Amino acid sequence: MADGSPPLNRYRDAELTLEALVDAANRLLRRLDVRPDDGRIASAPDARLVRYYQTLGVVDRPLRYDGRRAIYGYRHLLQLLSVKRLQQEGHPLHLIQAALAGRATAALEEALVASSSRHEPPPLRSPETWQCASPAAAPPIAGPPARETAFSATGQGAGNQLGGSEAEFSPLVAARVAPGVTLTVDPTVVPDPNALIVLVTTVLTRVQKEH
Amino acid sequence: MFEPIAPTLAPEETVGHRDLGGLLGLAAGCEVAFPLREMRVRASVAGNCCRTIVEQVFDNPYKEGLEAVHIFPLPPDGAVTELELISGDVVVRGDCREREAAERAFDQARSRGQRAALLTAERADVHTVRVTNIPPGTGVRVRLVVIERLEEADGAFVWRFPTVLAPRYLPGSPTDHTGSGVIPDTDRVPDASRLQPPLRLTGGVTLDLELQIAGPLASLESSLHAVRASLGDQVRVAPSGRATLDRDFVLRFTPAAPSGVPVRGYTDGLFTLALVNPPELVETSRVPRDVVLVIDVSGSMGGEKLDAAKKALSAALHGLERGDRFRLIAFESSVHKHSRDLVAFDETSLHKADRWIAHLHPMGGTEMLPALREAFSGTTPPGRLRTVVFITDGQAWNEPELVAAVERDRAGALLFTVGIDTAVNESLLKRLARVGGGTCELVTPRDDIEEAIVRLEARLGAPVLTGLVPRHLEAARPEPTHVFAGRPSVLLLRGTADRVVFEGTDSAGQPTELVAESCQRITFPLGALWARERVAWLEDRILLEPEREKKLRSEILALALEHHIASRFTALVAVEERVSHTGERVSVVQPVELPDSWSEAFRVADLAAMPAAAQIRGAALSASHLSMLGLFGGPARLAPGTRQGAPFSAGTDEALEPDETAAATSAFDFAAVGRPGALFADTERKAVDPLRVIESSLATTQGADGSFEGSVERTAAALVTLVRLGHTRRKGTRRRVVQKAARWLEQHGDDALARLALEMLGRAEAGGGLPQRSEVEPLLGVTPEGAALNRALQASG
Repeated sequence: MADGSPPLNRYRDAELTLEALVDAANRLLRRLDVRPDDGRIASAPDARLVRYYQTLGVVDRPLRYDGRRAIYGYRHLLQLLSVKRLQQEGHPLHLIQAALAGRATAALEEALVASSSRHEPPPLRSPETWQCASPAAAPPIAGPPARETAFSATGQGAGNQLGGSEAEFSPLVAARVAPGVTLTVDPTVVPDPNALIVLVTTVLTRVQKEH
Repeated sequence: MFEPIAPTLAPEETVGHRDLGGLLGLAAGCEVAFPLREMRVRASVAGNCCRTIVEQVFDNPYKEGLEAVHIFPLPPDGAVTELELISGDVVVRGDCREREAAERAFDQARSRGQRAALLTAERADVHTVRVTNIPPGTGVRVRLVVIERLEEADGAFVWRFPTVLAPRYLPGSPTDHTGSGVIPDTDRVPDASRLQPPLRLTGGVTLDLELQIAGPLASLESSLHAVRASLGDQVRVAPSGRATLDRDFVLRFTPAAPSGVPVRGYTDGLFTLALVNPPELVETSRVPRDVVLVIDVSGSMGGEKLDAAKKALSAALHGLERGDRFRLIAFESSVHKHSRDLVAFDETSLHKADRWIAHLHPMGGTEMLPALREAFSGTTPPGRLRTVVFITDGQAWNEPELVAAVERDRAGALLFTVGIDTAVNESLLKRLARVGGGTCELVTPRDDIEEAIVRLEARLGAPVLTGLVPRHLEAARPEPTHVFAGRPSVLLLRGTADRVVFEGTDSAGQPTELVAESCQRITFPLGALWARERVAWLEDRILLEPEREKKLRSEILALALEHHIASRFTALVAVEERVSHTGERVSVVQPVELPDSWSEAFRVADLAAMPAAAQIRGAALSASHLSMLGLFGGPARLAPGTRQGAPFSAGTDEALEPDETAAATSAFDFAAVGRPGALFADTERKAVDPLRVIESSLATTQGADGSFEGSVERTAAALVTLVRLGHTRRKGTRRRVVQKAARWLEQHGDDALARLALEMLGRAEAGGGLPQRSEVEPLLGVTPEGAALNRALQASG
C-alpha cells in the first residue's frame, strides 16, 4: 500500500454484477489488510453475505436490474468494505448496523481512506499462531478449562486459510489448563485428549492450592 | 370516553446526537439508535367496532436532516382514516389523495425543506409511513386512526394487533427493486420490494399499548403478553411488562351478557352493521366428507410452531368419522404426500397417518401454490363434501397469486385455514378462507391448539345458513353470505332501515328469513368501514377478473377518496407550511425485530451450524438461516458438515411419496440440531388444566370406529368420563368424540356396561345429574379409561 489508500477511484462509476461486487470487495479488502480469516470477521464477502447485509439494510438495494441480474455500484462496494473494516476493529454487527444506517457515500469513502492510512498492517503471522476455530470442531469437554482448537499449518501461505484442504492440516487440541499455561495435544497420538486435559488441570489446580 | 394520548415530548424536544466520532471511531457499547423510538397504541372497543390510535414517535439522532421510512403491519380489515403529523405543538392533519398525487406533494415538500408525512397502504396489512425533513436532534410524531370491525367466534371476540412483519418467503425470480424494502420485486410478486422491512439484530422499539373495552366482560385472555387489567364497565387492558414490536397482541374476551337474538343491527344513520348469529346446532344427517389436511413444514415453522401445527393436524384427523375419506399433504419447497389419493378413515389408515405426522420436521421455503393445487386436485363424487384444512404460518408474499389460485382451482371444495404464529399472516389466511368459502382460525403456539381444532370441527361440514342476502340494503360484499356454526357473520350494509331483513336457506334446505327488529344508533364511521370492505372485495375481483382491472381500480379510487381511507390507490399526506430543514438529509429505513418465537429456532441452528456466527456478537440470525427459510427463493446452500436430508427422519418404515416433479431440496434440519429449549422464557406459561389433558388424551386415543381399543368396558369408561366433564352429544367441545363413542356403544347394547354408559349420557342430556362414583363403579377398572374416569371424578368432585 504505497500511498496508504486503496484504489477506490476506479470503482467510482462502476456498474457491477453481484459476482463482480464480491470480487472487487475481496480484492480491496486485501489491500486494506482486512483479512477475512481474522478471528473477528465472520466470513469473506460472498453473494450470500451481500444478500444477508441487504436484509439488514447495511447494503442498499441494487442500483437497478439488468434483466434478472442486479447491478450494484460504488456505494454498495463502500458499504461492504465498511462492514468488514468495522468488524475487524472488533465491532459487533448490531452496532455496525446502526452506525452505517443512512451514511452518505462521501462519509463512507472518507472514513475508509482515513482508516487505511492510519492503519498499521498486522505483524506477520507465524505458523504457530493460535487460530481460534469452531467449538464444534472438537467434542466438548467437561470441566473448567477454557479450550481452544488449534490448527497447525504446514505451509506459510496457507497459515491464514481455515478453509484450506483437509490434507494441509492436522487438528491439535489446545486448552488453557492454568493461568498462563496452555497444553497442546495431538489427538492422532494421544487417544483421549480431553481426559488428559482434565487430568492435567486437576493436578495443576491441586499443586497451586498446596503452594 | 376515549382518552387521547397525552403528548409526553416537550415541544421540539431534543434528542442526543448519535455520536460516533466518525464512522470508524465507533465506540464499543455506544447506543444503537434508529429513527423509531416508540409506538403508542390506544384502542377502544364497543361491540363489534374498534377504533385505534397508532402513534409512531420518531427521533433524529443523526447530524443531518432525516427522512425516516417505517414499513409496518396494521390489522388487515382495518381502514386508516386519519393521519396527523405532530411536531412540538404544531399539528398538521393529512389529506387523502390519489397515491401518485400524494407522493408528488410529499416529494415537493421534501425538496422545499418542509416537514411532511406520507402514509401508503402497500397491501391490506402492510403500510408505510415516511416522514421527511426532521431536523437533527429533534423528534416528531405521526398519529394514525384505524377503524375496524371485530369478529366473533364461539361466543368470544378477538382483538389482534400486529406489530411486526415477519420475514416472509419470496417466490419467483428477481425483476427489479423500486421500493424501500429489502427484497426485490419478482415475476411472481411484482410489488415485493415495498413489503419487507430490514431486520434489526438486537434491541427493540417499545410498544406502549392500552385497550379499552365497553364491558362488563365474563372473561379475558391474552395469548402472547402478560397483561394487567382493570375490570368494570370500562375494561382497560395493557401489557404488564415492557413490550416491544416483536409479536401480535392477541386479546380474547367474552361479553358478560351474550346476545341470543338471531340478528342484531347497528346504524350511524347512513350505514348499517348487522350481525347474523348461526342457529343453534342441530344434528342433521351427516354428509360424508373428503378431507384434505395440509400442513406447512417449511423452515419458518421450526420450533414450537411445528409442534403446535402437528397437534392441530392430529386433532383434525382424529375428529374424522367412519365414512369420511382423507389424505395428508406436507409442503415446504416441495410437496410431500402421505398417500397418492384419498383413503378411507379406518384403524389402519389412522395409525399410518399418525406415524407419518410424527416424522415431519421443518426445512425449506413456504411454497404454498403447488400444495394448494394438489389439495384441490382429484374429484369428489356427488353426495360427498370436499373440505381442505390448511395449517400454516402463512409467511409468504405471493398472496395475490394464491388467492387467484384458490378461486380458480377449488371446484366447490371448502377451504379452512388455520394460522399458527406469534406474528401470523392474518391477511393471507383470512382472505384465502374467504375466497375458499370456509373460515379462518388463528392461534398462537401457546394457545390450546386442540381446543381450536375442536371448535373448527363443528364448522368442517356445510354452512348452517347459506345464500344469505339482505333485503333492500346493499352489502359491501354483494355475493350471498354463508354462515358457519359458531361464527356469526358481520355484514356491512349501505343504507339503513327500521327492520333489517335477511333471506337465506337453512341447513335443511328450507328458505328462511332473519329479522333485526330495530337498529341501535351508534356513533362510529360505519361508512368508512363499509368502503374498506367493498375495497377488499374489489381487490379480490381484480385478481379474479384481471381484464376488468381498469374499471375496478377507478371504483376503488372513488370510494377511498369519498370515505377518506388509505388503499392501494390512495394515500394520506400531511405537509407543514414552514420550512424546517435545508441542507443534507439522510434516509433511513427502520429495521424491525424478528418475531419472538422465530429467533429461538434460529439461535439453535446458530450454535450447531454456524460457528462463524459466534463472531457476530449479538446476532440472532445469520445469512444461512435466511436462505434456509428460502427467503431468497432458491433452496439453501448447506454449510459444510450439515446434515442433508428429506423432511422426514431416516429409517422409518413409511412409504413416502415425495412429489416426483419437485426437485430434491437440501436444507438445514432442525431435528438434527435439537429442539429449542425454553421458548417464551420471558413470560409465564399457562398452567395446564388436568381435566383438559384427560379430554385431549381421550380424543386422540379414540379409534376410527368410535371405540377405545374395541373394548366395551373401556369405551363405556371413556364416554362416562366425558359426560362427567360436561360433554354430551349436543354440547361441549368434545361432542364429536361423545357422538362417535355413543354410536359404537349402541351397537353393543346387550352389554350391561354399554347400557350403563348410555344411560348416564341420556340422563345428562335430559338435564339430569352427572354420573356419580357410586353409579359407575364397575367402570373404574384398571384400564387407562377407567383411570381417567377415576381422575375425572376426583378432580371435578
